[in-house]
Amino acid sequence: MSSRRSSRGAISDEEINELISKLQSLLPNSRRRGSSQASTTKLLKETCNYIKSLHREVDDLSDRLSDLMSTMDHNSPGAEIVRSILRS
Amino acid sequence: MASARGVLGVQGGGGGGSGRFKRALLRNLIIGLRKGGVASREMGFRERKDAIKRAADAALASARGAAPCWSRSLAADVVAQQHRSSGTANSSGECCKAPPPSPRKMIVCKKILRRSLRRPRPGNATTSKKYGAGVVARAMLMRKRTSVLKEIVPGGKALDVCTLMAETLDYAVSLKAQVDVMQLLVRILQEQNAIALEKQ
Repeated sequence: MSSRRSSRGAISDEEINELISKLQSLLPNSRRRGSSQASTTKLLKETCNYIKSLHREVDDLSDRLSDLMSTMDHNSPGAEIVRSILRS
Repeated sequence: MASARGVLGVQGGGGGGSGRFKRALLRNLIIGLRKGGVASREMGFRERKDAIKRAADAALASARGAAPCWSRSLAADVVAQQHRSSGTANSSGECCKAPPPSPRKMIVCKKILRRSLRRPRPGNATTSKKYGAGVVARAMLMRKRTSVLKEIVPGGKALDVCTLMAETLDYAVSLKAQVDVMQLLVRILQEQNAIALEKQ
């Protein structure tokens, strides 16, 4: 938990840089090419693409889950696993 | 921004959220899927898929809590969709009406804008000294990028740029956790199906 807001409502340059570098490190193919600061616009574009690709993955996974669930047997061992997860 | 503490709170270990967050996600997802009756044989493919997506979004928003704006906005979207699919008319009002940006926030947004403009282009050291068409073009590009981001992040339209950045970060981390949890669920069900087939 690295929130270091100085005072309520004030955001310093340092905090903006921190946010931006966090976004940078979050993206899957972030390469440090010499300078550690990427162009902000490029970062925003890659962030957009990243989030869009995550949306597509969720959509694809929903497809597969829908397929799997249509053939699910209620008394199978899988149901046991699911129930044990719920109990923890 | 008092909410910033909550907004950055999901980043535990590694990319894709903390283990505790993912466990809560998985639990919420399974509960939500059972509530949605997705294992019933009478459901059509499309209906089941929509129910799964809704359960996944609801699980994400409820596991994340009400701290970030995107989470509240997503939860409201899920409720609105449920009402739509069940046919009941219900006007769900905007839940993320951010207050108009205070003067301080306007200054901060300009800081972000200036930061992108100040960066010298490689190979051209004099750009930062000139104020010309290049600077204006970059400002327009920034605006275009942030507007795309506002469409993608739930509830982003009501936010100013600096809040949007923090929300985007939190949303991306949480989305990744949702993807991981759904992948795990797919593997569990696949293995379960394989075991069931072997027994026959």
